[in-house]
Amino acid sequence: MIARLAAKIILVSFVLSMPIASAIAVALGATGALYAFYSYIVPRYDGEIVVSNIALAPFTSLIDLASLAHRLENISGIHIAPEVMVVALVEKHVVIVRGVETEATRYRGIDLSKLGNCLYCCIVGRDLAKRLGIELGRIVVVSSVFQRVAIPLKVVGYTDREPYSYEIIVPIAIARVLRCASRSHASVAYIHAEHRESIELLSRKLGIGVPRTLLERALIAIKYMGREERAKLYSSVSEVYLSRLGIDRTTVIAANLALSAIVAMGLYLMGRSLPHIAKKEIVVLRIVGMPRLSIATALCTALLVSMVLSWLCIYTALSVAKPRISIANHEIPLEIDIHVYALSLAIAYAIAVLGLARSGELDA
Amino acid sequence: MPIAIAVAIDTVSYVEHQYVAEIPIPYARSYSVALSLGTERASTYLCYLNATVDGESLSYVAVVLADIARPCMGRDLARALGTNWVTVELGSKAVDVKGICKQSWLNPFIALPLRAASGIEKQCTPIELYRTQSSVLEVSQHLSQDIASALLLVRNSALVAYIAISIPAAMGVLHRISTVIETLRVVGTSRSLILLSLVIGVEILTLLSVLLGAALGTVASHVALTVASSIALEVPCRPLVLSNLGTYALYAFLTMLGAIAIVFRVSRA
Repeated sequence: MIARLAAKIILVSFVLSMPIASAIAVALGATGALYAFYSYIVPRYDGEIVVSNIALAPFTSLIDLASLAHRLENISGIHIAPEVMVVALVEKHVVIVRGVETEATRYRGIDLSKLGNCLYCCIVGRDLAKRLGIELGRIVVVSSVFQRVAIPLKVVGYTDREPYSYEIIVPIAIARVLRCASRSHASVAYIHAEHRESIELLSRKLGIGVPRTLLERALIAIKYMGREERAKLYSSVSEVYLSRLGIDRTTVIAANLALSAIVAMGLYLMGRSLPHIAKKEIVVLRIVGMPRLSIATALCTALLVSMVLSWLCIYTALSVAKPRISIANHEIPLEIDIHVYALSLAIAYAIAVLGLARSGELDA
Repeated sequence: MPIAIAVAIDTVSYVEHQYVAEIPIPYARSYSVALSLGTERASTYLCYLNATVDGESLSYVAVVLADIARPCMGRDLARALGTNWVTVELGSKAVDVKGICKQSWLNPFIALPLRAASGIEKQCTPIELYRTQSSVLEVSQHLSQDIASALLLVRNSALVAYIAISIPAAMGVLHRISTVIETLRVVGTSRSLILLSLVIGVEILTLLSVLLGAALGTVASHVALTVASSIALEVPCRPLVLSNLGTYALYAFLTMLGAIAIVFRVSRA
């Protein structure tokens, strides 16, 4: 009878908790993907410091390269690779246009030599080219929100490299034209340091203390307030841009957990209805003298097994299906933070058990 | 749950407004100049020529041959290159381009007078530049729509869970009022009347819960986002209640339909 009770509870709660588990997984995956988007489009490598202005996005950020270069004076072994990023329209599709200095990107191990000294040329990401049907040698017309006039660019090559495979790469001067920015401006700058000491010296010059553990992967955002510049240290690119909204990583995790709790609230009702669903088995077990606590323990265990199973099933299904969301033609996979997902299971289970405990059926 | 949905809706609108607000475009720019390549009747040509800027040789420099008085350089191009002096190779001769073009439609280009081109226009692409009414906010709207659709995924998944869990909720409610239903049946109330009362009851309750939740959620998210935006010392958040009223109504309607379906399903059982 106890096996029958367990089987019934597992089956019912597995089915009922499945939509909750999938809703939580999709919600966490979507927020995770949104959070990771900026880190994805502003990739940083070891031994690099990323400098950006505090803005809502890399394409609305502008930093003063002249001022940065002035700060970097007398520091040896430093190379700056500036990038200008613009959101533009190409054939009615929103595309990220990235302006690079081909020489400077070599320090980052990126070969974009196909651009050569060609000014109105572009390299198109392979995935984007497939999607928009852009062929080699063709002229694509790019228009941005910052520039009233469209610019025709000749396609001179493709690139497979992430994240460029969904973008259009142009010489930095053209990106500046699209962004209406001057020669001394860039959206982000990657500072490649040959020596660890150079990074230490740089962080001291910027007036911030970088922990030694973070030294080679530090992220600095500079906020411009009139002529005053304030540098601040961050741990991820997404954090820099979300800080503009007053949101940090902890807030995102807290919001995700709150969202999970709200979505899982319905499991309280499921917990309450479980003893009612297995009423016959509970009555029989009570008649044969099984203590109430043992029945409650069996119910809780069965509930735990079913919920863990449904959470695992959904996670596996999403890992296999790899659903993606599209932002500016970038295909971003749903990214579920496994720790937050596990915590959401714990919260959901606690809510279901609360419902179970509040049910009067066990006392009957 | 409706509170969560309301918060999600407001967050979507907030992010949209922040993006649009952060892109510094004068409102006067309510049109843009589109470029049409290969137009037969055009009197303007686009050529890709070699040029020298600050001693650096550049290939594929977009040069516009147009009906202008003297060679000039677009304002934005000059800013981006940091110079307004370029030498363009026009066939066998070199043309010095100094000075900024007055015409704003030439901003991203170098421009040469058509009469100075001496037949080179035959190797160029005829183009037509024309004003278009497409809003300059189109791109940012596209982008925020992408982000909004990702956030909609969050909101919709919450709604699916809400409707799915309504089944045991409706069962629980029916179980709790079973004594009332039985009493009504004993006193001779018809089954259809009881069902109708249940449907109306569920409709009112759902509508109330969604609207109340939406109102509470809007107030809560508005306060939170205003605080967040004021901390960030940037663009203030504006009330979004009215802009979201249609969405709330749609969700209330959908939830109501789901609840009615559940009542019918359970009542059959």
